[in-house]
Amino acid sequence: MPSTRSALALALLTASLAHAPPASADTRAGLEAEGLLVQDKVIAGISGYVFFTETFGIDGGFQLMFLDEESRRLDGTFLGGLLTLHLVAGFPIGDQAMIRVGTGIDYYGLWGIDDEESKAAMPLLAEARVYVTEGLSVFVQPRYYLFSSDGLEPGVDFDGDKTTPLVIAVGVGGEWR
Amino acid sequence: MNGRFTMRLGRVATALAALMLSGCLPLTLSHEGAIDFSRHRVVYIQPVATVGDLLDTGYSTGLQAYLADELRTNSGFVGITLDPRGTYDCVLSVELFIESDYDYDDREEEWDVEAEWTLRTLDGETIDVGSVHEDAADEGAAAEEAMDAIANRYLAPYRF
Repeated sequence: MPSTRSALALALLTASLAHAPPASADTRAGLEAEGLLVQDKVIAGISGYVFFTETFGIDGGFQLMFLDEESRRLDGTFLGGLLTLHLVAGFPIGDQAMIRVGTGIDYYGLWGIDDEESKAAMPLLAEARVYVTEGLSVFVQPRYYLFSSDGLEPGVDFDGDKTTPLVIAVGVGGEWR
Repeated sequence: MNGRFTMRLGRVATALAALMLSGCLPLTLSHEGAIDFSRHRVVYIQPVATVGDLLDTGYSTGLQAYLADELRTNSGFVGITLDPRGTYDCVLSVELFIESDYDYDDREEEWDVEAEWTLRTLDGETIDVGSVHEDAADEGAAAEEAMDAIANRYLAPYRF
C-alpha cells in the first residue's frame, strides 16, 4: 500500500534526523511523522517545529485525509488535507520529557469534496513528549477546538452520538539543535 | 540505549498502543446544504448578466455554461438546465459587476468582480440570495472564481 510505504519512509527520514549535527545552541527544530487518531478516517502526514527560544516556538504540519472505505459521494476515499500552524510553549520535565501547550489554526481543506470546501478551527493543545533517545521523541497531542466552523465536530460520530470532544495527534520524530 | 530508556520506550509504546486499541475518537465533517434540495431539485440557470468593463459578447453564455458544469459536478441539484423551455422548479439568476483597475506602480491590471445571485421559485418567491467579491489578474479568472463560489454555495449535503 503506497501510504504505508510513505509512512515508513517518513519514519526513517525523521529517525535519521535524530543524528544530524547541531544547528545552534539556542534553537532546536524537529521533523516528525504525525497521524490523528480518528474513527473511520486515515489522517497522516508530516509535521515539524522550530523553537526560537528555550520556551517558545511554532509547529506546523500537513496531513492527507482519507475515508477508510470508498464513498459514492467522493468517488473514492480522498477527503483532502489538514494544514496546521500553532504557537507553542514548551516546558521540560527532567531531561527526557516535555510538556507543550499552544494554540493556532487547524485548516481542513476538503478538496476531495469540492475545490472551494474547507473547515477551520482554533485549537487549544497540550502535548506530552518523551525523548526515547537524545534526538528521537514520541508525542501525544490532544487538541480541544475553542472555535470551529459549522460542520467540524470532534467527538461526534456519524449518527450524532457525542463522546470526548478532542482530536488526538500522535507522532514520532527527530530533533536537532 | 540503556535499560532506563528501554523501560521508558516500553511504557510510551504501551500507552500509545492502548490509546489506539481503545478506539479512536470520532471526527465528523458535515455540510447541511444551503437550501432544501428535496424541494428544489432542478434548476434553470439564466444567462449571466454582466455590467461594466467586459467587452466580449460571448462571455455571458460562456459563464452560464461554466456555472452549469460546476453545479453538475458537486451541487445538490438533481438536474441543471440551460433551456428556459425545459422542466425545472427553480431559477438561478446571476449578475456580474466588473471593473478593471490599472496599478501604475506595479504596471499591472487587476479585475474586480462582484457577483450577485438570486434563486427563485417559478412563482418568483426568493429561495436564496447572496453576493461574492473576487479579484484576479484577468477578467476571466475573476469571473470564474465568482462562479466557483456560487457553485460552492449549492454544494450537496455531506456527512463523513
